[in-house]
Amino acid sequence: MEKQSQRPAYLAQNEVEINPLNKTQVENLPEVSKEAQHMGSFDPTKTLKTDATTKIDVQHTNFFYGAKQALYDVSLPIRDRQVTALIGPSGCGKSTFLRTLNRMNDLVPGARVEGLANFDGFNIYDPKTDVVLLRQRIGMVFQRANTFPKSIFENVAYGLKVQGKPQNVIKERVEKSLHGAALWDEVKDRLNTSALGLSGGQQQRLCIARALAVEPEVLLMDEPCSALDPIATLKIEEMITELVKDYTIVIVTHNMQQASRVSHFTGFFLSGKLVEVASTADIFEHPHHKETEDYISGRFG
Amino acid sequence: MSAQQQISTSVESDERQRLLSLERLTQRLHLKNNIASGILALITLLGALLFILIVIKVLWDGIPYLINPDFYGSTGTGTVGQQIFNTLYLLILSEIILVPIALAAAIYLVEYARQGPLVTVIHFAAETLAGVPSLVLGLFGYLVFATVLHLGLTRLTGTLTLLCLNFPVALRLFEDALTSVAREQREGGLALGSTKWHMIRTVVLPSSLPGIITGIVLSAGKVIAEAAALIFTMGSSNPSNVYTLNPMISTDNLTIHIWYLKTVGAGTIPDNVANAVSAGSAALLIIILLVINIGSRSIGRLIQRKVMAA
Repeated sequence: MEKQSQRPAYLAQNEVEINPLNKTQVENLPEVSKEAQHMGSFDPTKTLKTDATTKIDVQHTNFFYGAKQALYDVSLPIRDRQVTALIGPSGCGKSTFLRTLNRMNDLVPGARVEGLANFDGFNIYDPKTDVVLLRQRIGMVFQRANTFPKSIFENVAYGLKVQGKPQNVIKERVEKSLHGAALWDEVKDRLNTSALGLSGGQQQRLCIARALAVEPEVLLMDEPCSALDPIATLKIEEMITELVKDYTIVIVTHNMQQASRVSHFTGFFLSGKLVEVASTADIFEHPHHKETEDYISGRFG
Repeated sequence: MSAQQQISTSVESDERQRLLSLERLTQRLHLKNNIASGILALITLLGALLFILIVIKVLWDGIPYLINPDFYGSTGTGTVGQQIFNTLYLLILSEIILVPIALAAAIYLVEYARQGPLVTVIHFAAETLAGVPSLVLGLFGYLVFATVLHLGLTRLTGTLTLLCLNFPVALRLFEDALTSVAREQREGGLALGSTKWHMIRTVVLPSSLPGIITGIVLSAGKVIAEAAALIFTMGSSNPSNVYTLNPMISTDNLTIHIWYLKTVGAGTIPDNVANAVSAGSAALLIIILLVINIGSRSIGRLIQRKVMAA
């Protein structure tokens, strides 16, 4: 009786309480590094470089779906080897903006973009830009894991086969990318089985590995964790903090804690306008605009 | 009994009343659901039963003739060896022409063409063409291919006429198969820096294979079963030797043969032989269709397993 009185009422007789602050009691905890077990311990402020060079310089971007304008005069620098988070309520244009950066919106009938996105001396939005080359340099991870119905190996090798890489290079890079996406240990014994047999979180990491395999310079992530459970989310966040040493990352997220956990810079979108962009700590602690403050304090959105 | 207790009992009985009426309501809903699902199951069962009975009846009538090896000969009356060859010849020739054309058109319309008035007009035309009776298409084939293009009554004219008949249906089915592949999959391929064609080849086509096979099977059924359109364009009699790949000769096929024996040619051979041939041919047609269906599906599965590692 006295033992049970200390247990929360919602736990059944023989259920173990999983208390995030008391991990020593929990056995078989999924493989998450020690740091990752504490939410918010990545601390991007330690790796923040306010003087990082601009990788993609977006200036005065307007975007239209047919007659409907979705982005209004957005100007935003994407810093080299830093994580830039884009936050804002649903329909604010953050995903649309992300998709202009690798010209994914070209697939949408009636889509039109104006403005300048200077990437390595050329304008991404220029109709003459080779989108195939662009997308090999700017990779993307989608909201829902769009794993191909092929084997795990073939999924990761896809982009390399597009580039016509020789077999030995493909093998080496597949392994390296799976390591990079923290998936290697889980799949190394079943590389030739269907990728659709993996869990949701594993599939999303596979998609990240697939994007890493072609060694892009920039990685765009469109709400990569929105369909995942907290553990899988933490793994991906931990991975982002590793990847940013080599890659420039732009991440769209609904989750403000996520933005504060992983990003160095944050841009706040509202109704197609970029309200403000600054270092993540600044945005969350000293927002300059009332809308930003309202949003991050949860008053709307 | 105190006042408080009275209130609590009346609240309790109110609650019980509410539960009882809710129970009656859900029972009524269950009843309606059971009636609806019962009717649907019955109709489906009747339809399936009718279908199965037809197949059994045709096979029952035909199999006694099918097990006789003389039935497949090519000399004398009551043999269909030539017609079987003609039917298979026509099937293969028309599929060889149809599948690449229809698939190419479907890929263009779904993946490349700007969705606008032109695509709408093409769809409208294809759907109209699909509704045209095969007899009318036969007359059209006679007029255009046999007369204007001077191809005469030949296997080629017949094949081209069948193409007109099958193209719209195959196009539609192939288009449906391609559009069923999720947009996310296409984006996934393109985002990795593949060209559109590479993405179509490696992502869209493997995933749409089952739908493409359905299109092939359905068009194969039409080729095998077609008689009306072919009577005007391919003829209804055979030369001395049909066992040739020459597309420029006039031949019949199984269904034309059945039609001929029962109409124009009635009386040229004894009734019991004519009945034997038609019953045997009908059973044979069903068996061929079955083999095509099962065969193409297992080949499709094999390819898919190889591609998808599933």
